[in-house]
Amino acid sequence: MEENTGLTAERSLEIIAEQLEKSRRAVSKDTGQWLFVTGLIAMIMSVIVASANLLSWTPLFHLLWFALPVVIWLVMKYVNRNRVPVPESFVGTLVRKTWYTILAFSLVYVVIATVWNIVLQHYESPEVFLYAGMHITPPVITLLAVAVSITGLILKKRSLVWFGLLSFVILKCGLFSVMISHLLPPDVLGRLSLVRPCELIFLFALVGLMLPGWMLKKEAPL
Amino acid sequence: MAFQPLDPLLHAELRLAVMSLLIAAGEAEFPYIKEQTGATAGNLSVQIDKLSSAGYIKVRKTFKGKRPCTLCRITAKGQKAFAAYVEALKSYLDVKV
Repeated sequence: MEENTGLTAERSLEIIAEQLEKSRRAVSKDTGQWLFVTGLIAMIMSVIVASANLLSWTPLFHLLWFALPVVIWLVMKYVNRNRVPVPESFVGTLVRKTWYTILAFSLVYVVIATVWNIVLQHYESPEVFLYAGMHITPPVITLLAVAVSITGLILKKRSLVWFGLLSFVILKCGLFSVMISHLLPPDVLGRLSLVRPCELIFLFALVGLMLPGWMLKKEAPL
Repeated sequence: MAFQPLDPLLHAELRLAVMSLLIAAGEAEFPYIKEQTGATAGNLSVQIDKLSSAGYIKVRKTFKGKRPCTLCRITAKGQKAFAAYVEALKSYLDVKV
């Protein structure tokens, strides 16, 4: 950009609009990177947890999910080590606060539900546990799908809104679970109960996080 | 409608671009501004110095780990000047509409 003082009013407005759009795209790209990495790590983690549970015949390795936020934070720190940081902007702040709020709610819910289920399993009968046990994955996936859609609305990316809705609808309908239960023999299905929410998390990470993140990342610069 | 005078300090492509970026971001690092405006480091430094001398932005030199880091922040005076510039631009566009 040259030092040009002979600007027309239209060109001045163009420059202002261009820079504002560039700021929005920078936030968009940054969010894309974040979603992509989070999705990828969640997919890898679901494969690790599922394999470990299957090999050990215990559901204990689900506790590994608590390490997910730390792993994502460490990987993001590594990925961004040489990148010029995107400054805080109104749009960026909105996206960040949306995710912080939803992640905080999800984390608190997961902790409460896990403790509740452990206590219930130890002190109550299986019937009571079946009736009063808290589901963990569907509510958390719902919250995250909402966050993806809100992010799409803030960044004016309609595809992101649809990815959020799509991941929510597919997973909430349990279509994937129904499909698997029809395809696999009962003995294998029994074994797969140890894996249970991992396949849902894997699918959500792919449809709700990694794919939209990749699309945002690949957006052409202005 | 009479034309309002345009602030000569803002009525330059690169300085206007820098101010527009800082209006959106508030504060940004020198490499980010360079990347977004596509300017050369030398030219950008000169223009930032001019904006800083006018009190439109505040330049802060700090360290990020062991690396030096230059931060530019828009001031209240800069925000007012930018708003006045946009207001003045409107008078030029109104005539043509």
